[in-house]
Amino acid sequence: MKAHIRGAGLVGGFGSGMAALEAAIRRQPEPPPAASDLSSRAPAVPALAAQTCLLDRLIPPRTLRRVDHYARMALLASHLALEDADMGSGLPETAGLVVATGMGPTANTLDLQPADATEADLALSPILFSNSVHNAAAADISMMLKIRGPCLSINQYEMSVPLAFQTAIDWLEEGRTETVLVGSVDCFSKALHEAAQSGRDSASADSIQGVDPVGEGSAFFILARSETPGARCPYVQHVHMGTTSRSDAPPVLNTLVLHNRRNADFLGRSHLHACFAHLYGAFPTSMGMDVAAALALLRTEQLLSMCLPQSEGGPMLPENPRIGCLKRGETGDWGMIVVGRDGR
Amino acid sequence: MNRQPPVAITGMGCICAAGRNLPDCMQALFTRPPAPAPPRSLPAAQHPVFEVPDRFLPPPGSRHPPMVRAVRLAVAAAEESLADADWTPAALRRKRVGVVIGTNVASGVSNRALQRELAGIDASGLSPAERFRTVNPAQWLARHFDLSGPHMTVVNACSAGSDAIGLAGTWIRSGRCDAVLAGGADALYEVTYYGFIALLNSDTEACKPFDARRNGLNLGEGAAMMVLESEAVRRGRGRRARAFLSGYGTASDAYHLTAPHPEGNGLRVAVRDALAAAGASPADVAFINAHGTGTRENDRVESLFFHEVFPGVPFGSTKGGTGHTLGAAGAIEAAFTIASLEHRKMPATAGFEAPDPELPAHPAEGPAAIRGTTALSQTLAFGGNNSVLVFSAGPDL
Repeated sequence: MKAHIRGAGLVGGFGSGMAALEAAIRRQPEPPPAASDLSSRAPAVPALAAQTCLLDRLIPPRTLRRVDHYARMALLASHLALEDADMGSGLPETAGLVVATGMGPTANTLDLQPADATEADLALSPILFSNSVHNAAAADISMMLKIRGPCLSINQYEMSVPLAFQTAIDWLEEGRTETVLVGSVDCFSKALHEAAQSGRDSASADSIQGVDPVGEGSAFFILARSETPGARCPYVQHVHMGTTSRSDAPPVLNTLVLHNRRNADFLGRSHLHACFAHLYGAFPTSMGMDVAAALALLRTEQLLSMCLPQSEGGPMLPENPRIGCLKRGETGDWGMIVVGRDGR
Repeated sequence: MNRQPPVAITGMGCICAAGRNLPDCMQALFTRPPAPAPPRSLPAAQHPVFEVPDRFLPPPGSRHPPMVRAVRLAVAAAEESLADADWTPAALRRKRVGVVIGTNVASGVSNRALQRELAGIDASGLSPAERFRTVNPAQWLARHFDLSGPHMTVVNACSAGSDAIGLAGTWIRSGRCDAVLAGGADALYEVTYYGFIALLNSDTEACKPFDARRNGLNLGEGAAMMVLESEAVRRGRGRRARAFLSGYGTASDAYHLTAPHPEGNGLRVAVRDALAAAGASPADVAFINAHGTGTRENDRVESLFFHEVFPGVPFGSTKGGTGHTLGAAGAIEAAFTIASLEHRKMPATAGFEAPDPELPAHPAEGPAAIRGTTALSQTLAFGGNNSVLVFSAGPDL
């Protein structure tokens, strides 16, 4: 069984959709604008914020009036994934949904939670409360895309994305469903703002080194069970997970590993690697963006060539390229999603 | 949904307002369930809850940062379940053991340290990742017991505990793990407390599942854990299975953020898939542990569903003795379901006295004797999630 990626949609600091990401990979990005969580009086930090106004053209604004920024990003990315897959009539009703998040609807929840529990708001808004529940984005997606199969929300900080992909593949292999919409979402909040300022966190470590800003965004993929190899539809070849404390090491691939910069030492010299985090920023589930970038490279040979070593005859393109997307957590856990072009 | 091999459950643990361990909980449910009271942690609050007495909890530990309440509950249940399964820490370290935990508060309470820091109350010195680790039960349990397999926290609101157990079954069947520690944990939390009041879903008195006078839920807190093992490992150890996870089904209503589908559409699919995975039919089901929150709508949907799909099959709710423990509920009630199979009787539905004439099916009067070896535990959740577990009694029964 192979899990083909039928389509991908995303929104981040670079814009919306696969075309926007491909364009961003081709050009040198602009320096990120300063951004600050509006409810914080702390100084602004460079951050790559996602704009979701495109969603208002896809869904009636009345339907969206109770949906917050966190869920809007996930909804937009999901819709764009359907467009990318030419599934204008929607997903099958029995499709599944897996949402990975590092911090959940934290920006919302932070506003509800006082520093002292005894000062909690006795007249809490039911809408704000509903949106603070960790599976709010999954609920909005399932309602608006009429997904009636299994739905799951995972919150394992940096490891949420590989766990989500593994779960989606498990469901396809079990025959629980034939199609899964799987993706990630994280939003800018006081927590990420504070991380960027303090530089104590993996989500912001690159930012503090003056390399990558913090970011936010969402990336969704339509995985389908298929026995047919196809060049048009890259597939998820494997999800690896391990921990450095037990000397687990990611496999060496024939093409490339996408990651954030601080992993260069971890990977060692046997891996060719590239980093696009400067396009979408650093945040716990940015690995979803890496998977989208890998997909862009596999779809467009010219983009892939730009990232590979050049020889006299041109870039060294392997016959069946495989790209790994690596995320390493502060605890030593790591995950790698391997995407390939040929399912044979 | 394809039929799937059953997965052995070799150990269980539970802590909630009904008791500090699973035998105590069952004893309380069968004889004298506890009554709810206003929360001690929220002085101005009046809606009653089922709080776990502090004396039941393990100490917070000397590590920095210390365990939060939900993690302390998880650790207590995990220690009981591992002891019940006769796993020593050294033996666990030699196996690939995963952790899957459902919770609702997860990242929520991790924000308290940041809020306090921003408000100038104290300086925790924690990064967001460190704050996350202080409240993430799967991370804590993996580190606490030095487990080498994958670990995952499921945040599927009230069905999270059921989903965690169902997913653990997949991890075993796929060969990814030799054993999995799976369950749910949740602590009382002011945002959910006032949130349910805001949604008009919280009773001002003790909850009354399926009762004509039902007027909402009481929140609770607790944790339950199970040890699931591959057959190769279980047989190698010569361990008896307490029960088998035979089926897991889950489906979404795609209907409303906080209300169940009025016809129970997602629930029907989840039950159908769970039974198909178990190779069972409704006629095989000896009893059902209902979600039974005590809210008008949830209990109406479940009663209609039972009447149509499971006519005559006894069902009941244990939330009148534990409160609604949110992300832990599915796991706690799964443990009660298995323990009920072992006892060959199910607890009475605490709080149920006056049958609702508008409901077609009513909970069993209890404690009721169970005839059969297969039982269902089902949970309905915010976001429209419906998750159902099918358990079969161990071979010794």
